[in-house]
Amino acid sequence: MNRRNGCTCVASLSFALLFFASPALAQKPLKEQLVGTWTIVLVDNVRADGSRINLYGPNPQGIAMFDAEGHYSLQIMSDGRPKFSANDKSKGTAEEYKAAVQGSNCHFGRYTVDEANHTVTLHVEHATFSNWEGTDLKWPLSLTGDESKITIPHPTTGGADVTGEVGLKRAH
Amino acid sequence: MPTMRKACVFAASLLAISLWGVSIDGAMAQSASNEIGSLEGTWLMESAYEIRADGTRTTNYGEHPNGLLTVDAEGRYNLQIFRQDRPAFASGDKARGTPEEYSRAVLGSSTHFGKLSIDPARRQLIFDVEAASFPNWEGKRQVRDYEYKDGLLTYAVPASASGNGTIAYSIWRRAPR
Repeated sequence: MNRRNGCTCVASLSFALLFFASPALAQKPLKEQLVGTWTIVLVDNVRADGSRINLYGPNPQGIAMFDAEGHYSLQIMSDGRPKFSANDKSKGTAEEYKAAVQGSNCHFGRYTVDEANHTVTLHVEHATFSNWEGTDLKWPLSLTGDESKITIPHPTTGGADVTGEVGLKRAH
Repeated sequence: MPTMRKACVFAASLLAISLWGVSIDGAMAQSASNEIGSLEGTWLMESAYEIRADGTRTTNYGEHPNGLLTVDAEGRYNLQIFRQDRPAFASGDKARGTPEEYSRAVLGSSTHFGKLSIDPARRQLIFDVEAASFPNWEGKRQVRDYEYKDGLLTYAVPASASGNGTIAYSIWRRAPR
């Protein structure tokens, strides 16, 4: 092997390794783009006329994490929920317990992404709303760079003529 | 041929950088089990228990609650713990629960998120809680003593955090990759 061929060989190997080592150079699958931490910026029901209901207030607090191994963890809490006056979780009033449950939605489990149909399915293992446990939530997902939107065709609250919308921003 | 030589050096450097990246990944995967290193990753709850002010032991979330703790590279954390036997809402609607269903939902779960850092010298975890199912924790910093042994992370939530003199212990194990 002369020097020129040797050099070409090293160069080819280098570029091949760099290509596989840097996902940025390839078109990333939806799942890979979803992996990471997201801030939840919007949780709305949208009526047929386009008007919106903020399910967790105008400034929901929320986080969603998707790991590379398929675990997800999502929490939504409305801003300004009343504190427990006794400062003891075990001594809340009926009103405080009700507000705590209605003002939050937290669940975790596994997730899968359907690349062809652009949907994410959350396989809910555990949830504050216990009726969701063991169910699959299959939702259309759109993702552009650092912004993502999940559409909920039939939300559990709000009636038959609304669709749900969850807006996410990639945390940096 | 100086141009050819430069090209060769460049190509060899690229190769070296690529291989260096691969070897770093391998070394991190083999880190020793009694060094916690970074908290980054996904943790599964192994068990939990509480010691009341009078010294007796109890398990508010059951002996083996269902828990997941995820921590990202920037120290953002997302923690959820659920009791195993919480009842479903009979109405099937979160907006129409009974007082009993609401109280059991709150008492049978603990969820919060925010920023988490570790002080290995003091063996302390520092949770800066942004939002919590127990709203009184929001905006608070909670420092918890931890131990890390044989892949198990144990920390104690001090009596001052519960409001009733109970010390709660949480035990976590890294999720298998």
